[in-house]
Amino acid sequence: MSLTIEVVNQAADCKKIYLIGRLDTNTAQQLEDTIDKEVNEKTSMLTFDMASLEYISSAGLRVLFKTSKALKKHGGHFGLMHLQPQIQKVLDIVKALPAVPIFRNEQEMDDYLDAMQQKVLDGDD
Amino acid sequence: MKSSLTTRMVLWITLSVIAIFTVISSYDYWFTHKLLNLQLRQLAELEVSASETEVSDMLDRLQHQADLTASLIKHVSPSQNKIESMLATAMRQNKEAYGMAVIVEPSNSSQNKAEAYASYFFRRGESLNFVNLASESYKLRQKQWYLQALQLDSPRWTEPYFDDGAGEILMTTYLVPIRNNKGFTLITIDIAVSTLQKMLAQMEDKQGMSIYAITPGRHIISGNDESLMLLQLDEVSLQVNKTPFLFNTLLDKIKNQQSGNFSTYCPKIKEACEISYAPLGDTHWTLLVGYSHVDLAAQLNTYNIRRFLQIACGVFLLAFVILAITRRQFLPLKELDKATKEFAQGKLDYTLPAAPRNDEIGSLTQSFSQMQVSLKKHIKELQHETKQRERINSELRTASQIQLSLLPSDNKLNDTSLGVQLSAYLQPARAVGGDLYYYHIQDDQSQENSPLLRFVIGDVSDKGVAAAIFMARVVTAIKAIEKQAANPADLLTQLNHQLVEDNEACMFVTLLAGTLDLHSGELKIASAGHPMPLYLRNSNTSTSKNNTVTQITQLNGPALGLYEYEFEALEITIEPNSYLFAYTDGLDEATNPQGELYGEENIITCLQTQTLSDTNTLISDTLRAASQFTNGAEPADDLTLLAIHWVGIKK
Repeated sequence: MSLTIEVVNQAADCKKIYLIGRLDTNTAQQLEDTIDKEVNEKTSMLTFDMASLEYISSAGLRVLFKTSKALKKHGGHFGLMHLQPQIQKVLDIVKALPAVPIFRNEQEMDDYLDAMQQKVLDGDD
Repeated sequence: MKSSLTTRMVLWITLSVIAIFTVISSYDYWFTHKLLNLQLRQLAELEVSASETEVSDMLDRLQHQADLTASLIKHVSPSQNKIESMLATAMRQNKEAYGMAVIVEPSNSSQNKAEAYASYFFRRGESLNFVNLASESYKLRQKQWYLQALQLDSPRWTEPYFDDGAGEILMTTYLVPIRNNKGFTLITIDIAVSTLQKMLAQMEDKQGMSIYAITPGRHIISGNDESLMLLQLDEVSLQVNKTPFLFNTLLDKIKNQQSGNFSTYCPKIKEACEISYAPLGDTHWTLLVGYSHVDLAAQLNTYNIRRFLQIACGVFLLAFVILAITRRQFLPLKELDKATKEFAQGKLDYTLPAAPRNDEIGSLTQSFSQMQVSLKKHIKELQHETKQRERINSELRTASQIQLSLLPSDNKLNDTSLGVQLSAYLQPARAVGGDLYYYHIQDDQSQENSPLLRFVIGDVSDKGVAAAIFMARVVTAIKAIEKQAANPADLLTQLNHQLVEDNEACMFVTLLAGTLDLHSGELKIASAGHPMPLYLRNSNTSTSKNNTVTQITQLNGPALGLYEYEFEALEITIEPNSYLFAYTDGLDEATNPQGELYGEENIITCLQTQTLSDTNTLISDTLRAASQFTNGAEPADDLTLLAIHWVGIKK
């Protein structure tokens, strides 16, 4: 079984990546290559939509963790959406992404983004 | 292959040529046959007509002679002497005539009654003989021909008869009766049947026909054909009963002095033949000519046989020429075929034949040559790659050995004095892997400290070489930290601190660390993103045979290497004669060919139902159940199992 990756540019420097299939040892490199290409210093927000992700292995977790680390370094934000129970369980055990927000729907993501913007504005005052 | 190609080409071309020639020859045969038939018919008609003319002319001449003499006698009334000398002269002039006679019977009423006489001149050899027919010995008045003449109104030929007493041969006579007031006068002219027969025979010989002269009374005078000689045509019908209708028609036509022709079967020559018949002028004779196509057909057959032989020879030669040309043209192909066979046997250095011409075969040879070069190159590359792979494999084997040496030297521990038994199993999915386990018994023999079993099981993210290197780093660090660490939580916190530093690759490891007090059964356990071990008891009190399997409460921090974290340990006391079973995701995430995961529930069921005797059996039974589930599917992840049996120290 393979992994299908769809990248959607939502706004300037704001991207959403749909993961469909299995993110395991065999497909992790594929995602890593995509992220190397799509994510750079300017990326302010990256969300993985995992509604159709059926399985994640430790190799997949490593890529997610690496992505979050890379974004954090440049002040970018990283989020996950629509986690299936088995994925949620793996994340809970490994705790690889403790500070990463997990959105159940689009509204939650929008709220998070609004809060982030507010925080930036507040910081400017 | 190539010989049959040549054979097939030659065969097909030859067959095509034969087919074409057969069609052409058939048309030619039909056309020639038709043309020759037409020519033959014309020729035959011409010859029939020539024969008719010849016979007719002769009979006409004789008739004319007799008529002329009769006319003279009728108008001039010459004396007997004069008439006799006239007859003699006529005989000398008409070589065909056998004899001539004049018979004078003066009428009784005639005033100046003349003398009656009957004079006959006939040929004997070269000389002319005279007979007085009026003599007693001849008996003129009893002769059939004379009696016929007496009845006649107009001149007429007699039927063949033997002139007994005068001519002494078989003959037919033309009778010219004259009746006037002077009485009855008869002029006759004979022709020997043998003369006619000879004439017909000559014509037959010359023209290849059967010729028959039919007298007015329908007697047949034949040339060479003795069988029909002097037969009455009407009587022949009795013999020829095969085609009575045809014959009756013929008979009627001849009776009515009509001409015509038809085709029929001629028994004499046993072939189809043409019958032609025509009346001979005003003589009341008919000439009947039979001629066949046999000669012509034979000629045509000869021609055709010769033609067939010519074509056969031509085709045979053509086949040879095609064979020679094809062989010659296909020679390079044969060479190429040989080269291909050598190639197939792996002899890639075999020299290809030079491309002879810039044709298809030449192009094929060139392509082959290119293929040879490409193949050689490809094989060389393949050899190089194989060598590379072998080198890498060899390196991996060494790496695997090094990695194994990082693990405890013995994967089994059985210390009866301390009442503990331990078994471990580690199987990387590839040559090297990221799974690890570690154990160590700390027994300083002092009274203050109880003997401790320290154990660790871990799983580095991902697998393969990167995981193996990280695993080496983890194991080395564990060995270094282990002794200073106050408890498992402290071990994990310190280990994490080391691993977080310089972790650009973002590798991480899930780890379970524990210590078991071998006196009290106190278990301290801390987890970094790793599932807690399963706790097994051999429940004697229970009515069911099943073992009690409990999942130790999950209390864990993040996997190691991600971020700094202060770990906590869980403390419980286990019962004597109980088991602890820890595993990595190679077990619960083992997949069968249908893509289903083995899962925690299956592991628990397996542990509940097996007979607990020792840790080795526990591990082997678990592995057997898992391998039955995966049913030969390739393991996706490294697999590590760790089983501990605490018996409890007998104090």
